[in-house]
Amino acid sequence: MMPDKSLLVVIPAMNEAATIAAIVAKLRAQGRDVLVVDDGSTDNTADIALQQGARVMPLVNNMGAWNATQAGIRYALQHAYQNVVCMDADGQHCPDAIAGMLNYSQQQQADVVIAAFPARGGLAKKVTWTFFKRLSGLNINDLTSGFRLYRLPAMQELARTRATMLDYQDVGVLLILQNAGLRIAEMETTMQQRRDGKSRIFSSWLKILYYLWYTTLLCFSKRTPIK
Amino acid sequence: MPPLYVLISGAIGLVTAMAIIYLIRRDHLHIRYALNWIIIAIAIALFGINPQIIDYLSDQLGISYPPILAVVMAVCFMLLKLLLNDIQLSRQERQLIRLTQRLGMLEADRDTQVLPAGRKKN
Repeated sequence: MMPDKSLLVVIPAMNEAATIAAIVAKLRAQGRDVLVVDDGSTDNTADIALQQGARVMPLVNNMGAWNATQAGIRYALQHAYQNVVCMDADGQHCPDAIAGMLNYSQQQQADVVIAAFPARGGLAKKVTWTFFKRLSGLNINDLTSGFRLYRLPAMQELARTRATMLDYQDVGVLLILQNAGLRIAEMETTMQQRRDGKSRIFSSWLKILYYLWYTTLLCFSKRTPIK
Repeated sequence: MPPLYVLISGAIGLVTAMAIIYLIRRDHLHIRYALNWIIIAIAIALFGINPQIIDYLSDQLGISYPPILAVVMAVCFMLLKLLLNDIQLSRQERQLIRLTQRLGMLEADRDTQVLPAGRKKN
């Protein structure tokens, strides 16, 4: 299988020393270009990534997963990549799916492919995602999957200053893409278990409440395109 | 000899204005922000020396307890200033993120990838 050299895999990472080596190694074995964006790690994530053959973008200030991803997208544009796949550093996303995502995007003529995972979580989560799906007007089932393929038009849209001020990479990013008239497709995939089992975004009730409030306000204010 | 309160508020207003000028001279306070504080200095002096203004305004607005008008005006002024601060903060945060990204892009392109020393938290 000839690797697509117009593709850059962007992995935002903060303190993922335990899991980063395996992912980078696997991607490099596939012959892919990998950029690990070191979002202010205090462990040796960056060193490990370098050893395994990734390029590392060190960020002076921690800026969160979305801004780190955006930094990777800006880098990709600067280096004339035509596609970016972003994925998590914690081992949940399987590099084998990437080829499928590229094919799917051709098939569906989509600018964005979301690797969608089967609905997980209890009733509360299901209600929440249905709520946000309605409120945002996004016709997407897996709003939060960070495993996505962005093709050039999507990359250009997301690199803009206007796309910078987002606390999360889910609804906000998708709204920007939708408002720009880009085509988003979802592809079913299987997920591997998160190795350490802890979510960072929903690690406390306070954070959950903040997320709920933030995303609700986001939907109200950014649902329609800004002229 | 004017009443004591006139002298006191006049003095406070004057001292505030002088302090602002001093801070500007020493570059501790940028002139843009000083405008806000000069207005406060003037307001203190003005309403301190002429409290009748508050009485007059309260009368016109139908407020039965004039001193509260001064308090309400001060609170509104502060809320507005806080909002302007948040807007300013948002802008600066955005600039900082974009700048950090640009720097990261530069550092990612070094031929020999040597990660900057001291990147670990102290």
